Amino acid sequence: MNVSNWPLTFLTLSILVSNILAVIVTSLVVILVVTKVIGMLWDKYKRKRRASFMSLAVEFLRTGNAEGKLPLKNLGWADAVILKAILLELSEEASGIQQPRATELYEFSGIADKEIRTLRRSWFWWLRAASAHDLGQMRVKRAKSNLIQALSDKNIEVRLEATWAIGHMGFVDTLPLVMESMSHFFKIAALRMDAFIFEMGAPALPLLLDLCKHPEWEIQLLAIHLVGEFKDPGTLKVLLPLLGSQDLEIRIAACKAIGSIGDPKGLSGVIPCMEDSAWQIRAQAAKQFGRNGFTPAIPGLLKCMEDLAWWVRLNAGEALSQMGKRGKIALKRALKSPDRFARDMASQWLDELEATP
Amino acid sequence: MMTYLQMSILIYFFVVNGLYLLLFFFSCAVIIHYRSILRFRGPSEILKARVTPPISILVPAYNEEKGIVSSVRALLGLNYPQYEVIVINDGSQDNTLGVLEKAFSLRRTAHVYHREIPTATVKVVYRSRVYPNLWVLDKEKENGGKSDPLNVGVNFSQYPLFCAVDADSILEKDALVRVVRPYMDRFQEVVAVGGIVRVANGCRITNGIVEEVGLAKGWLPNFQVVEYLRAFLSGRVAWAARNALLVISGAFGVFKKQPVKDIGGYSTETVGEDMEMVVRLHRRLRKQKRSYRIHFIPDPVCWTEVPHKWGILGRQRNRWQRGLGQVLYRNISMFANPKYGSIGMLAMPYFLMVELLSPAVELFGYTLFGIAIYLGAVYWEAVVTFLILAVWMGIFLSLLAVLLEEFTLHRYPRVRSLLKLLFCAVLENFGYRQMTAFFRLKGLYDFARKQNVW
Repeated sequence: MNVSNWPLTFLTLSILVSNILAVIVTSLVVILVVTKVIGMLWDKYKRKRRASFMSLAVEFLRTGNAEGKLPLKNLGWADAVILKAILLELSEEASGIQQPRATELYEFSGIADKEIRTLRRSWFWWLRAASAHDLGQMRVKRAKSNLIQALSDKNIEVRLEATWAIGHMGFVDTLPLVMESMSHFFKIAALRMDAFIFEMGAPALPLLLDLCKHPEWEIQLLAIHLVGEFKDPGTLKVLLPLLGSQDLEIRIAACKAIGSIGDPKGLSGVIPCMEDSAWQIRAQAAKQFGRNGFTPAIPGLLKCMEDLAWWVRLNAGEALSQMGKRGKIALKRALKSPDRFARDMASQWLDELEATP
Repeated sequence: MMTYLQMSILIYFFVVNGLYLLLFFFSCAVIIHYRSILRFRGPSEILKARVTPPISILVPAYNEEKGIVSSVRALLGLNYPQYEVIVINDGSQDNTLGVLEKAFSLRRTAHVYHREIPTATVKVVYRSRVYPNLWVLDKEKENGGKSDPLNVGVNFSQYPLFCAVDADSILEKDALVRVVRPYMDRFQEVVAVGGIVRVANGCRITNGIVEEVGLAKGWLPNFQVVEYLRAFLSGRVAWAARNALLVISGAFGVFKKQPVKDIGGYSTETVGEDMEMVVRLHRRLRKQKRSYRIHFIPDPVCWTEVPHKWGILGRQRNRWQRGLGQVLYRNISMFANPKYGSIGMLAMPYFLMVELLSPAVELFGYTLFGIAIYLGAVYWEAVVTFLILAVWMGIFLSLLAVLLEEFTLHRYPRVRSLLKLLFCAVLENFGYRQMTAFFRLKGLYDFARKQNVW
């Protein structure tokens, strides 16, 4: 740009930019209006078609009459979307024989094939994720291999939906694969895995116990958490040795899991944790004793009331306050402790006890 | 000389607006992605999960006698599996404590206040007889705005996450469930999550709950609606996606407690304590080369009353500008420092050159062009074109923000509200923007004079 001519150049440039901006804003407003109009038309069409599809689908689920489903075969895109929504809705409420009939209708209408194709080939992760979810919801068992493949999808949402679908259909043997695909997302994985384990029930436990010894730290952690959810005292033989792990997180997870089970044998094994070098473990152990009202831990808890770490003292005091009469006596004893921190904490929890009806 | 100065102003204008556009388009992609995720992971799942981390809600209160009861009641009614509400009465002169005592049947406890972060003394710890998860701490007043009461709350809180909210802000029922989602994804990495703050003026509010979203009758709050949409939807979303978010609003943010304790809590030496803490978190964690994330979620909503008078707005903007100045000044070593990655190389220069200095550059530009026209050094047609382009660009960015809101989040259900917002997006460029630029300029001046008062 020639410096002496800059106002002219600037003038031209400004007009050009202004025009571009005007075109963009106008286009966006037009798109907004068009979207709203299309939305309204689609709602109207959906309402009309939904009524007829719903009666056909409900009738088929009730009677299983093969002729009743014929009008629902090979529908166009819009009608297939409406029917799919109806079937998903019905499958949530369906029970007994109606559930396989819903799946049959889903397969018959050709939607299942389309979903499997989408899961395998779509470029868009949200379409793959939705397909994985819908296949699980409709219990399309032949999609198992596609869902297993989806566990290694690069998108976490697809993996999460595939996990849920596999759990919903009860494929216990896929558990190690599922854990490996989810382990990096601990909390959300634990959330999904809770649902997964709930669907699978006891058959999943032996596999989970094996995974408690998995070389990968995150998988081990997730497995310990899930084992705790079973509340099965039989799992203590695997969980108790983990209290001696070198890894702090593993020790905490094991402590929590044993606390969830609440078996006295397991809790006795946690007593030495009150002398662990890490304050997090001491605090966690105290918490688990309180949660289970485990009175044999009282002497250790009294010692924890004098701990240097405030959280340990707090949890120990709270634990004693949850142990009924014996806990209260122990708190009163702590009131006479030579340690000022122990006295403060004891008075705090005694005050809480007094105030609780 | 004059020509080069004018050209510098023009280049600045194009660069700044180019950056705004870039941020906007980046935000669009992030928000659309976020909306897609919500399809698969709704709040109900997080609500039911046993692994959802509990949260302590901290509510600093200073002379909030009028609204504190309804605010706390609304907080106690939030949808979240496990949380506690800690109200910190910061030496109120009115009857804040009295109304709380009466409304929630508070009792004095012997609770030990553990002062990990240095704070003023807590005189009494109260707990509600009716709501066991409600605590009220009565502390001595100390200068330093909200920082000291927030630090008291951080010390007292028992859960690993805390949420700082303003006493006069209203959280939506599902706000916590939605804002905690990044922690569910990667608890180890995420240290803070901010949520969008929206304007409550004009909404129908009953017992601390927003029942109907609407717009105010006056223009001033509605201009701020557009301004908030622009700042939150096209600014913060984009910065957070680059892990370079420097501000989490003091009105609503969820922090992991331990990293905050590690940096000594909120600073009492600045008026922009919310931004200061986020920058310090970045600084510390980047120095330690830790893998961490500071997120922003465009969906969880906190509603807040914005100033409806120019005077109050002026004081607020002045304070924000001084806060920004203080934070940037205190962390100037991060500026253009590659050691701090996107914070040092992108966010800090942007906040310094655009957010802090833009009112001064704007004023300088107007003066310069005035002088140039007077001296005949520039065609007045060019200056008028430039001014038209500047206004047009402002309108364009505001319209984009409103349209983005309508396409993705759609919180204003009435067509009339949408039309009014679109109109405000145009109108705010004629007077409102210039006034806020003036307030910010005054703030910049006060910052230079080191006026550190609230």
